[in-house]
Amino acid sequence: MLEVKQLNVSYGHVKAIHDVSFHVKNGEIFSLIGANGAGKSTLLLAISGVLSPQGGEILYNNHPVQEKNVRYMVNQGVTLVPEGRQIFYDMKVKENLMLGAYRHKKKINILEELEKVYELFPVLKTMESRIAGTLSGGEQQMVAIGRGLMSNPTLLLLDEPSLGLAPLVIKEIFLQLEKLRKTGVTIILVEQNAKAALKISDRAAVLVRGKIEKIDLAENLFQNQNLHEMYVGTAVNK
Amino acid sequence: MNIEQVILTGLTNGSIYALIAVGFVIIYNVTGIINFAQGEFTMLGAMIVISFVDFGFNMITAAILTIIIVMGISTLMYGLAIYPLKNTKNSLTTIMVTMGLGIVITGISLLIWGTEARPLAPFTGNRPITFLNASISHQDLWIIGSCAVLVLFIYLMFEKTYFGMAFRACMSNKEASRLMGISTEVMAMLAFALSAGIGALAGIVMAPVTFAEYDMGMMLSLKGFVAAVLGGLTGAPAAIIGGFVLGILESVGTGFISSGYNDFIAFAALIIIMLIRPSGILGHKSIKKV
Ligand SMILES: Nc1ncnc2c1ncn2[C@@H]1O[C@H](COP(=O)(O)OP(=O)(O)O)[C@@H](O)[C@H]1O
Ligand SMILES: [Mg+2]
Repeated sequence: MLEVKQLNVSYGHVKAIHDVSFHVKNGEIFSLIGANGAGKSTLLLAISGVLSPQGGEILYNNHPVQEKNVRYMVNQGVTLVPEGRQIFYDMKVKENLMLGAYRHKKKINILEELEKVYELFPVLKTMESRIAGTLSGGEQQMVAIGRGLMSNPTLLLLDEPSLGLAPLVIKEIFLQLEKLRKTGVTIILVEQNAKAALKISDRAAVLVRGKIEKIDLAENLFQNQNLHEMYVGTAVNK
Repeated sequence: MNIEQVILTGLTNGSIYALIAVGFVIIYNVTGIINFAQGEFTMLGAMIVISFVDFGFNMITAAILTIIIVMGISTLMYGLAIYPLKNTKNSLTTIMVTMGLGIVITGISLLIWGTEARPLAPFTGNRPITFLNASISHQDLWIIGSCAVLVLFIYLMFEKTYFGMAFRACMSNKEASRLMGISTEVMAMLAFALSAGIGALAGIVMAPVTFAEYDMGMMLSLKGFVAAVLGGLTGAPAAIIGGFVLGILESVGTGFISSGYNDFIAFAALIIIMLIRPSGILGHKSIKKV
């Protein structure tokens, strides 16, 4: 469903992604793991249409989309849940969720989508009238994911959903991601928390300083004793 | 002068400041730009409506045409001068540009209308209405009434429509709005149009009480800015309160001290608020952005 070929992305003179290639299959959870600064967020921003790459190709359902903007990608069913959540902190939970359907408001039934999100995260229903900024970190992350789901996406890009959350909350959120995958949504999951991500993933890639170090089945990577050194060791002395 | 009169005068002037201040915060929150041409919309509203009335249009038609024209001018201004700055990080640049636009609009107005102050007849009757110990003119009621109707309109649009919600989303978090697929440029253009419409309305209703002059925009921009800052620049409700606070402060000052202190009071209030409460009189609703 998604194929990234020889992708290059830079910020001015700083090259953040070098010749990255990988593909994601329909219905799988694909993890991108790597240390801070490895280029994970940059890769997601390029796929979601926020950044335009300097070279290479991104094929979505066999169509080149590397030149497309966010609006186009959202219309096509690709949604990014960004790093640091980026919810609308001074707006109500329900409003946050409803805004996720912005590009699709004419095609879908917003209330139906809202119910689906509440089914996944029942706690949000009890808080729908609260101002999002007053929620706990875990609840805010649920709002961010829920908002992403409101457009009924086929490909969901999640950037470090576990960042700053307690282990129990992380477990809860990852459990819902597995449920979500069963409904047919394809997920690209970016994580520094490699073990947690690999547990729910089908396949994964290790990103080191803008390059792919390894791609394998998640269980193989999970058992790899050197995984941690592989990406942390090389990133520290950058 | 009695206290009722001071308050009524304060409410009337406050309504005008509130309308200009609302224009300020709408543009500021959607685009991050302090639009120092905001008062020019009010000047244009007054000047254009007077011209239409002089041409023989009735008041309502003249007012509607004026609002549409000023909104058009603002949209054009956005497209030609503001949109090209969208990647500018330096807020001083954008402030200079809006000030420059204000000067250009003032200059063109001078060419069109000349330097003389132009009158407009009050919308309805001339005889003041006595109310408690104060008297209020019909036109003052028009001013306060328009402000009230506009506040209601803004409230309904922002709070009760999906479009208004998307607009507030842009005011809340621009990056996230883009991720939702909201076009922040279109929203910015609409913010300019809406603010101009509100500013023009203020000019239309105040024209019969002040005389309209080509160069009244700059002082109105500054007063509206002070009102917006008093409110903390956070949103429309705060700006409206800021407008009324400024209006009442001024009328207290002129009523009990001297009318010469009118402008002095506005800027003294600005300086004091900047020193003791930079986040505005309402303070900051500090919601932590984790
Ligand atoms: N806006 C930016 N401007 C310049 N450099 C950036 C910017 N964002 C990220 N970078 C650089 O790009 C590289 C990859 O960053 P990022 O994609 O955020 O990594 P990760 O998400 O894996 O932590 C880093 O070296 C970072 O410093
Ligand atoms: Mg990142």
